Amino acid sequence: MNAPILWIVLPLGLSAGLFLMNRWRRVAGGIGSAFALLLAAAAWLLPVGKPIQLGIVSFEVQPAWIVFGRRFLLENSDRPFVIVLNLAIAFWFMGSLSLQSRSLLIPLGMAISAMLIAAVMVQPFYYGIFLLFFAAMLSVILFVSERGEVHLGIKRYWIYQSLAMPLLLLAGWYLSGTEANPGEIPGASLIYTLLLVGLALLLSSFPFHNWLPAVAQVVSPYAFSFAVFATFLSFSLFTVAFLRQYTWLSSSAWILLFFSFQGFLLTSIGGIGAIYHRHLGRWMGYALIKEIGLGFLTIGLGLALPDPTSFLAILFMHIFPRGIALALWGLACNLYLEHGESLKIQNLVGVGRRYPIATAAVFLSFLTLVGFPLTAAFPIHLLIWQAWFQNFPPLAFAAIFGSVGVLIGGLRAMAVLVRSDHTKDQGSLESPSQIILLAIGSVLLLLMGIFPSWFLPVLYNLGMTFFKGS
Amino acid sequence: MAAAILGTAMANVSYNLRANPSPSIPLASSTPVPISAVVFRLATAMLIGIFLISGAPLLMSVFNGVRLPQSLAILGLCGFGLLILGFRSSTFSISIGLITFLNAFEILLAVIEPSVMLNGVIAGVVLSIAFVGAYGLTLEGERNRL
Repeated sequence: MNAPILWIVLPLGLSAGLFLMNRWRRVAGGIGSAFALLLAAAAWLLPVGKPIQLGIVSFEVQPAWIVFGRRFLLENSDRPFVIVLNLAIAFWFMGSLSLQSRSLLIPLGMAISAMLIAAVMVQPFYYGIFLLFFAAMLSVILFVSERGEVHLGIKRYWIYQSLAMPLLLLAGWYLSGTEANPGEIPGASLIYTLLLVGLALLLSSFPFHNWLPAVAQVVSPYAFSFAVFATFLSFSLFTVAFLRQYTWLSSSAWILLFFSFQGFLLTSIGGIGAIYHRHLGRWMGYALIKEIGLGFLTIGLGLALPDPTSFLAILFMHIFPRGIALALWGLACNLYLEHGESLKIQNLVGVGRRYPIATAAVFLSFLTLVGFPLTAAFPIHLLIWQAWFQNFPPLAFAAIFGSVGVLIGGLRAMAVLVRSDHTKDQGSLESPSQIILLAIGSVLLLLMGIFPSWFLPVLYNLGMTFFKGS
Repeated sequence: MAAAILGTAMANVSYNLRANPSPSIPLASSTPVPISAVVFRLATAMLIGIFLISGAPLLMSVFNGVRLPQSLAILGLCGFGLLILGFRSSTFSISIGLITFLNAFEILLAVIEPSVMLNGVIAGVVLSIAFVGAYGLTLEGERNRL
């Protein structure tokens, strides 16, 4: 058995099969989520490169697979990434079972996750940029299929990702040439230029962040939340692993300044935008800009510390609270849309009376995304705020401002959602399956918030394992 | 191949339009362009020309092995690709702009990294852009037809 075949080729093959059976939406969703859970369990239980004894059968999962001279290498340190990504897609696929609308989320989601895993595994490492590009193109297809046209926001995303790829590839190629002699780097300014512009495009940092609210406004919230969560998680982990291959680069003042300054800008822009939003989708777009900014602040400070691994592991701690909050928001907003509601603020009056569980889930996801006390993301936000207060307080203020802005925007939306509207029927429109799924997600978020010591150390250890190996 | 994919999508969209006398979809720009816009575009094209002449020696000094004709082609394709992306917003134009931009990198990488695998993957990248463009065009055509 071969690890790359198990976690890349099999999901890719299955995604083709799921595409063919996508007309039977529930069957495809069931198979997709079961397979993703199986892959996550395999990554959890099967050590790579060691003999495994199952009764009388003994086998070994080989870590490497060579294709045209390039190697896909999955080591034990990569298993945490495979576990969390497969758990995330299983969670999203299960949620999609309760939705009525037809979507390409299941087949494309499976293919996207396989591409993202392959991007982290491939060697030489800069070949991963191609795979990230293909994952981004699959996200574009997902957005276009949801919208039925190539909206301007989708075009921006398409262009930014397409321009990022050659710049990063060139930077990676140049870096691979200087690897042997890091003391004398004649083209350092060229490397910085290519790398920083490429990273700004890839990670949707300022000024390339504007597609997020635009796309969030027009595509299905559930598909949007999945694509953005999976791609940005992988993009940021890939970026950190890429930079840490070159010690002089990861500790460079330019790189640290880039992440810190972009973190400052993105958290501020996200906060301001969320305050003035008039659309629940745009609010999520701005909340995601703030989340990307927070990720930048984590990476910026993590790379500056003498022992970056322990701080960068926070990126892993953030995965489940953020993922569950995004999935709940997406599911609830999709329910509103399926029943003919609009996500414009002025059209949301009284929606909370007709979808009480969905609205409660939306409220909980608001609070989690801003790091409100007693929610799952609060300890993580607190860690980042405290660390920046000790190093450079203005950036900590920016991060708090971003959270406050997103909270104000969320509370504005909630005030409209729960207002009574006597012109419409007040009965609940949620189906039992939707209530169960929303309740499971909400309870998970609440449990993670009330008992953080049950979940966060596990995630932290997964992050430590990943970053120690990268 | 990329041109064939986009061309087939365009042909299908046009066929749909012929079958249904609905208003045409803006595949390129359907609105008349004012004189000032033409002058502005020509001025930008001239700027790219200046950038091409001044940047070619720099590119040759940064990347060993790149000759003047290649350097001019790389910068020209990059510049005009960005020009198309900056001035046109239709799906077809964006596909063409991105493919133009990526062709510049294809030339550069063919010179500095003579790897068949790398060139093959870049060809795959160009095809994927053409495919996304064709998918978008087809959906827009269908939407317009309805």
